[in-house]
Amino acid sequence: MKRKKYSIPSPRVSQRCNKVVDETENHELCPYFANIPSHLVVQILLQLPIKSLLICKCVCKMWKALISEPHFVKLHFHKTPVSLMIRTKDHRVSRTLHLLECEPEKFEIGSDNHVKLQPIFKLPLRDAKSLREKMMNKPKRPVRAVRLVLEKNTDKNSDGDSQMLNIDSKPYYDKFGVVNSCNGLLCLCCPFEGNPLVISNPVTGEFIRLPKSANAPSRVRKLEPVGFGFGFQPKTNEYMVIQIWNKYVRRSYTRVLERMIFEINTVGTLSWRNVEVDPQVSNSTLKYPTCLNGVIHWIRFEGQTQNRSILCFCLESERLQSFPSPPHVFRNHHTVSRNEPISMGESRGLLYICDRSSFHDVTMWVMKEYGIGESWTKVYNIDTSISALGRPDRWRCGLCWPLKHFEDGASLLLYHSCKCLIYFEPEKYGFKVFRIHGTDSEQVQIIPHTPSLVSLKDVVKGDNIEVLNIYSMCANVKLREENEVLSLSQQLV
Amino acid sequence: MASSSSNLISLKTSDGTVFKVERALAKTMKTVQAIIEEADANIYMIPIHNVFSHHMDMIIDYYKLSVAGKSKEFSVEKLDNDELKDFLLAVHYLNMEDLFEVLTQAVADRLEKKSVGYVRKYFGIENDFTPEEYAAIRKKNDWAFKGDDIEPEEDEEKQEE
Repeated sequence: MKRKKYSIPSPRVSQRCNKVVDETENHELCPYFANIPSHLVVQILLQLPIKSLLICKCVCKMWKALISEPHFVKLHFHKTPVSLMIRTKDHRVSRTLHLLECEPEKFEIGSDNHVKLQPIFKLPLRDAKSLREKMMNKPKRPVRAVRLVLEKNTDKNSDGDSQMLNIDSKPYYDKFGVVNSCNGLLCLCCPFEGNPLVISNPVTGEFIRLPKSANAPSRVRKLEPVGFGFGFQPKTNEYMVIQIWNKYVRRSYTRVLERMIFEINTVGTLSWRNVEVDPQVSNSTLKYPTCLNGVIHWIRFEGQTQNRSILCFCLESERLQSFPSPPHVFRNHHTVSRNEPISMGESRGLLYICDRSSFHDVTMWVMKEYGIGESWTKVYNIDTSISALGRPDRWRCGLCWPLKHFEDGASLLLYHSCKCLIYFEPEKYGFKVFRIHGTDSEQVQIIPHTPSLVSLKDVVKGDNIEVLNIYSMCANVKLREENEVLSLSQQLV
Repeated sequence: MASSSSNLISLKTSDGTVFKVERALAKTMKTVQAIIEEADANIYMIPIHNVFSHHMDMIIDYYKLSVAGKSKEFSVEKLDNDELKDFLLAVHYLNMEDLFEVLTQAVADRLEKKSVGYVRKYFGIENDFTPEEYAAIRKKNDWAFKGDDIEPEEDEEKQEE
């Protein structure tokens, strides 16, 4: 009986139980599943987590081809649980990302157990050399930042070519910030200005450098950032990056806006394209880029009036327009400070907004029907003045991410002042507090990112842009902070 | 005679046993459903090849549990790998979505965190990578092999030709 490939649709992720198979089986194996048709193999592989999938990639050439196929990668991505990447946030380069897959089992650990945050991924280092040399401008002066120390590897592979290099790197040159994550890829940026520089897939280690724009800021051309974003256009299967700058000119002791620069780069092409949009946006700052349905959304903070609204840019029609926002949320003007206590994101196809403007409460809104303003629903209102959670601190508390959706019993995760995560599941547990151990850093940065095996080679489509891989380039490079192993443990309150 | 108005459908397994199942259960088997719909007259009994009576027993168990809302209690742990494979093929033949996903998940659970060698043996697959190709692909995905919950590779040193 002929069956179409992938004819049996895969519903959303079901609870995975980490059963341990009896080890004695290992010694008496004979091929049980020999001669299984390949579309059955695919159905089995789709149920494996990413780590096991990569092990299976090494089984044989056919399996490698099956797993690398873009359609398979896409199907598998839809089954991957919502995840977060955690990275230390301090004076260091912090190129290490620790993955936290938000599956319920992770949060059901008892209070004595530690769950290691694994696996660990690395981001590339920003290219320090050219910047450093330019800033030095004195070639004779010894380069102060880099101190290469060759260390003999004392492990079992101590032959000549496996020496570890300890690089003394400085975040000023080497650190990347993150713009946003979209469809399994991360867009990395300069940590100061925020302009996008690199697209990477931390799981596969691949990354590409975005081409330089003719309008990029330089020592001569000072530009002020308005907003940046990274998105995916499903109709053309392309990824696009956006940068928006304001260019000012000096007019007798003040500066005047000359024009706003709005540019798009289709990932894989070599240049940035200018797009004409309503220059009204130039008086605002756009934050929390979130891509959904081929549209990039931002929360717009208007300069003078402190008004907040949602702005969106449709990648297909290339139009910038406003987007319905939840009622009442954006009319709060409790704060005029720069620590905007509102954030936005996307989870499993739904746009959410987390509002922390009220001193005690954290409110989460979800847009149940995309594009329909009335469908913004207040789903949670959490009173964080519960004494067990410590003093509510408006500036640090309250970033939250929805983890599961409402059929399975919703839950969400809150980040609470310095390395504490609060897991809130209203049906079963209420609040559970978890602490992140293993690092000296006082704070961590949480990046919502669902891992995917999508290969940048398929994204780039062609030879214009070189796809680099950190595992081949920097395999021997180790930063000093990379001995840290983060783990999560529950705190009894 | 024809059992059109009754709620039971007769299914005959490969080993000759006849099971009378509820129409609702037969509906979850898309293969059976297609046979019923395509027939001109009402079918008296439907033969299902590749499905044995012990498979039907388990299928009926699963159906009863899922109707009661307890489908998570269904377990195939007691099946050894051979039995699991046969069951999976039977359910695949019958085209039963939910149960199929449960079974593929069960197989995936048995493979999770196992070494490359284990997976190869399990599926009876021979390594067709050259040593260089294998080393390259291992290096590229090195992080997936690290971690104390992963079974170490046994036969890495001895590559098959």
